[in-house]
Amino acid sequence: MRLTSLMLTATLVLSAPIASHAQDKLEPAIIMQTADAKVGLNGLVCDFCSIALNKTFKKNETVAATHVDLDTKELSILFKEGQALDDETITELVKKAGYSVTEISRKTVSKTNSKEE
Amino acid sequence: MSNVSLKFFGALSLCFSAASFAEARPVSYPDAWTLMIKNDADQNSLHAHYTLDTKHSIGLKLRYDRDRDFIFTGLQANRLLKRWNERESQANLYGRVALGVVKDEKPSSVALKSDEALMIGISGDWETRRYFVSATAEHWDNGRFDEYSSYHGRLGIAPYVANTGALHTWIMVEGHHRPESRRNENKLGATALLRFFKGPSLLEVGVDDQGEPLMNYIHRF
Repeated sequence: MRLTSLMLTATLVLSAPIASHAQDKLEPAIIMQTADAKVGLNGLVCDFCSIALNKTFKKNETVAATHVDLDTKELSILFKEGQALDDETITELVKKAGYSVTEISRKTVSKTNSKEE
Repeated sequence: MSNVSLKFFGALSLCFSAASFAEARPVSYPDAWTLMIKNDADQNSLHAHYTLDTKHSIGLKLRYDRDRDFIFTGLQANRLLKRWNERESQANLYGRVALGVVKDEKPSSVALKSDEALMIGISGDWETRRYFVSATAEHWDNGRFDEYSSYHGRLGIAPYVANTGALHTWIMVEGHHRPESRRNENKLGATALLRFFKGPSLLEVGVDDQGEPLMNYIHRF
C-alpha cells in the first residue's frame, strides 16, 4: 500500500509539468486557423528551418505561439493579447533566422502598418 | 587523451554518429547550440558549436583520425558565405577553419607526442524537399602526422515528402576521394546511406563499398 502510494505520488509529481506544458502548447491546426499574421517564406525545405523560425519568433515577447507549415511554406503567428509586430520587424526576424519573406497577411486590421487580408 | 577516453569517445561516436550533411550545415540560427557527431571510415568526430549570428558559429572539434591513429582537439569556426533562398529550394555555401593540437594515440607510444594542426574546408549544398545535392572539400595539415585531404559529394532523394514534425526519410549516395588514404588503395569510394530526420534530430546510417559503417547524428538545441 505504501509502495503504491509512493508510486502514485511520484507519477502525479512527474506528470504535472507535462500536463501543464500540454495545456500551454497550442495545436498547430489551431495556430494556423487563428493566426494573427501569416508569413509566406522562401527557403523552407526541412524541419531545421521550421525550428529556426519557431525559436527565433518565440523569443519575442509579443509572440504567443507560432507554427511553420512546410507544405504551404507559411509561418503562422499568434500574438499575445493587444500586441503585434509590424511587417518590418517580422521581415527582420525571418532574415535573422536565415530565410526570406514573400508576403505578410493579417487576420484583422492591426495597429501596425501591415497589409490587411 | 588516454586510451580509455579514446574508447569512450569512439563508443560515443558509434552510439550517435554523423556526415557531410553535418559539415554542410555548420551554422544554425542565432543563440542555438548544435551537436554534430560523425563516424565513418575516415574518422570519429564531434563538433559542438554555438551560432553567434546568422552567418557565424564557433565550437569545439574533436576528431580521431582512423587512418593515422591520432586525435585532434581544437576550435572550429564556421561561416555561411552565401545563402540562396528560393520558393522551392535552398542553397548554401560555407567556409570553415579549425585550429588545435594533434596527439599520437598509438597504444605502443611511450610518451604522447603532440603538434599543432590546421584544417580549412569549404562546402556547398542545394536542396528541395525532394532532392538533395552537396559537395565538401577539406584539407588538414596535421603537423608531423602529415597532410590529409578529403572530397565528398552527395546525391539524395526523399521517397515521400513529409510535413513539419513528421519523420522525413532520405535515400542517399555519397562519393568520396581521399588522395592520402592509407586504408583504401584506390582512394575513391562510395557510401549508400539512409537519413532519418525528425524535429531537431537527424540520424544517418550507411555502409561504404569497403564494408565500413557510417553513422551520423545531429541535434539542434
